[in-house]
Amino acid sequence: MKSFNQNLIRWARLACVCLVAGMGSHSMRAVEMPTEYYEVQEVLLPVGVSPEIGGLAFNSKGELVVLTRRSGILIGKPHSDPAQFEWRTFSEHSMHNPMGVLLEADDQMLIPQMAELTRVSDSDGDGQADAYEAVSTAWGVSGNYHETNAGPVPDGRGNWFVAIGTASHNGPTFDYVRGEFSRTGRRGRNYSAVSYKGWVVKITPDGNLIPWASGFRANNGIAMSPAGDLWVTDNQGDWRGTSPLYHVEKGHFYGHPSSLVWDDTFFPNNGDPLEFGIDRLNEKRTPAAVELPHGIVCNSPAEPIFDTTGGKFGPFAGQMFLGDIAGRRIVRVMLEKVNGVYQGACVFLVEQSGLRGGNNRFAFSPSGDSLYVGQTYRGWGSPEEGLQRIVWKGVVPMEVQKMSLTQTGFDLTFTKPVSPQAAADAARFKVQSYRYGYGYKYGSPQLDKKDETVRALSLSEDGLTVSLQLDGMQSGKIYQIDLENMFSKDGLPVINTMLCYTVNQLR
Amino acid sequence: MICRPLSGCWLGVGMVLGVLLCASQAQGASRKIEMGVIPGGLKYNMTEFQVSAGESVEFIFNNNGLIPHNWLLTRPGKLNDVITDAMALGVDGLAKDFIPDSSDILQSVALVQPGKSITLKFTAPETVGNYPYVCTFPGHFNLMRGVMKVVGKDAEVAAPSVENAVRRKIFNALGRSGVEPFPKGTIEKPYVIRTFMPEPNLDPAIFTQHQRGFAAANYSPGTGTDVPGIARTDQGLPAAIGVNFGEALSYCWDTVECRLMYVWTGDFLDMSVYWGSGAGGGRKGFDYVPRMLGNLRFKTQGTHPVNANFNPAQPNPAPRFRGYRMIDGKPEFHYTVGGLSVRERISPGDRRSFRMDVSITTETESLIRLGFDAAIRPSLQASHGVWEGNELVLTADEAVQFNLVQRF
Repeated sequence: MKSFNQNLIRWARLACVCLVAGMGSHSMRAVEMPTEYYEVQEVLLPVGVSPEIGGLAFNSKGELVVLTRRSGILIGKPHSDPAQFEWRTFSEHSMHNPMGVLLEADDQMLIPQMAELTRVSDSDGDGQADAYEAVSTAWGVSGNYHETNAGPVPDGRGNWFVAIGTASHNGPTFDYVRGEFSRTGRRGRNYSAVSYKGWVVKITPDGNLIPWASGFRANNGIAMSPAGDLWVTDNQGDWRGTSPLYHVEKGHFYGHPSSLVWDDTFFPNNGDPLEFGIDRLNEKRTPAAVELPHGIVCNSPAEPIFDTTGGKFGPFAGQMFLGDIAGRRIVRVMLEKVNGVYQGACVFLVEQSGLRGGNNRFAFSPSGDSLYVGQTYRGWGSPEEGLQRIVWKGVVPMEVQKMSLTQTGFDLTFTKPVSPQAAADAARFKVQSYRYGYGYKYGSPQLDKKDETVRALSLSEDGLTVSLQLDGMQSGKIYQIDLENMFSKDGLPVINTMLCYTVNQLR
Repeated sequence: MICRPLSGCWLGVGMVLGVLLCASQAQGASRKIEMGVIPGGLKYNMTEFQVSAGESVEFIFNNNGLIPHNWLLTRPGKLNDVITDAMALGVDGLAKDFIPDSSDILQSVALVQPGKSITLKFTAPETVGNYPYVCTFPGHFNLMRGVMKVVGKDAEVAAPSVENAVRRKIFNALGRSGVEPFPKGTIEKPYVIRTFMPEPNLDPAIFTQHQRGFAAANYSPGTGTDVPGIARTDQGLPAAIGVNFGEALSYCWDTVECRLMYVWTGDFLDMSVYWGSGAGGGRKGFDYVPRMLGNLRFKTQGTHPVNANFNPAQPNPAPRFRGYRMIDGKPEFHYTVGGLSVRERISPGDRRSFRMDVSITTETESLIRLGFDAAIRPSLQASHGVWEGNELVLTADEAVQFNLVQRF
């Protein structure tokens, strides 16, 4: 009997240890979003249409324009039952990796293909596209599968921004390419053998190209904020410790060296950009506004979209959402400016909860309460293809609404008053800091990882804001806060409890 | 046992202990009721369970939720009274685990922290009836409740049904689409695709507008240096258009050279390397160059026919691709080159041939010349113009609308 009990205790210990080990130092259970707040719904496309979605947009009639990889362009009349949209075909022509759609009119749209910015229009009014105008072919094409283009984003002056991706060593270069071939640019893991790969460019109405900013790798998402700032996401990889969100400014360099061969102020005077030196490149580059921790927040960010619904999509008006192509989640970004520099925090909007991966392109419904999500893994991984929408039910969930840097730590402002007991318990705020490296290596582990101590907590009078005081904040680090057992005064738990703030500037 | 109170740790211990207690029970074993919460919601995952009057009950509450919960078993009809009493506790509530002093509470489990598990053993009431249970943590009592049904000693006791938040199954929309990697069109409605296209060993003289790509050393991002091995270039057309009329005709038109490159009949293209196989999705090859099916019938040769209009000292001016329009359901390509504006529309011809309807306009009133390779000229017929050797000469009027028929 005694040995039986001893064995039992050993089993118990083992079970405990196994469970602890299996979860890592910060157990992240995927938290399902209750459908009382946000509900993920499946929007059915017709049979015979491959739902690999490159672009979404609502036209003036409230119909949803859907751009697909193989099956052309569809237009759907939405229905409250997402299985009952009325679909019609606008074009059955397959386009070449089209990764964006900008409506100029209900019957006219701009689409960036691999080799061309194309204007597709229905000129005879029969409901079918009949004109495919080559607006611009001003960049090079090398024959590599990775050279896709995102956009176009209007600059407000009749031109468009397009994000032009680099090539990858996992695909070929052809014997015959379009545009000037650079042997120096061809070197590397992700490379820029032909012009403007790894750039954000501006295209004029005549189709001419103005180079705008360099240093990108796989910039599969570009958007402009209501304030007129240009934003681009990029993907973890060579010269990318983790996936970044960039505030794009003219003439800036964003870290991936290969594109510099097309910058005549840099090359050929400075020689092969890959050999320029990590320290010198690091000094030259503009860092990310927000870094998205790989594996835990976002693995492959795509298009950013700003919540311009004025509150119809919940309590996050004005904030930014990003899709994860390689994860079943939508990330919310809370941006602020410190010393004139953008930075901020990322947190999930919805994770799992029936959401597919491949979250590539977005569109808000005209009513504002639904975020349509077009999905595709782009053929680069296990397929996650389809069309879903996330509907806000009109009930405000308990979440961190805003995370702000203070002189001594952070202010967390919640959507509802916080339980005073929870807000006063430092053990419920698990804080750690780390940073990601920069260099030719593919990705970076979390470096200089440190547990941070919460020195003091205070709650605002209205009960909405918890101020955390930390010791010795450092710039150039990400501060991750995991909330444990945090709930509102009326007993509702915080649903998305992991926040990661990129500190570029201290106050 | 040093164990940081992470969620799963205590759960694991609780589950193991639960099994042990059950296993070590003698006869007259308890009815075991294991209850949790719906993750993300404020509900027990069991809104009803049954017990036999007077039997031993082993009630296990696993808090798999995010915040603390309690469990109060109340007398029939007394739920609202208990809730009222709990609300009246006010600021003292937490210290009492929100359990009021009330004779209407038969059993209770004090606040269980997230991730923890508590076992309560009790004897079911002797009187048959419906005994409500509830969580009295502030704000929870609305939804977080259920009923324990006491049934007669001889009655059958139904097993409880546990409502778990089912991880929603992701619907396979791609599989449902049924789109295979063998697209095709028909004679009435040809199919158009922009993609990398095969380069079937075409005459190098064609490539006046492309640049040469070159092999490169393999590079390791681990070391930041070149490593042994060469990444050679591959064959393919980077900016081309494939068009298929079914078995009758397929062709490849290039937007860099702005001309027809080759023609084949039979099946069109195998897109698996780009689209994936079956209803697919994932690319299957190193490249994204589809494979030509069917039978190759014609390859163009030599420099662009319009080159005959230009000064030999400055040959092959760069054409600019303008796009295409659908005319009678067929694509008509438009490009400008050296002051000429050219439109071409290709369709299946009679027997072994294809037809090109062409329109060339120019600012000047000069003659239009089209120079064809000596290998091609013999099987080519023109509706207008005069042949001078391998050169077709058209007046400006004739050039506005004429056609060519190419036999293969």
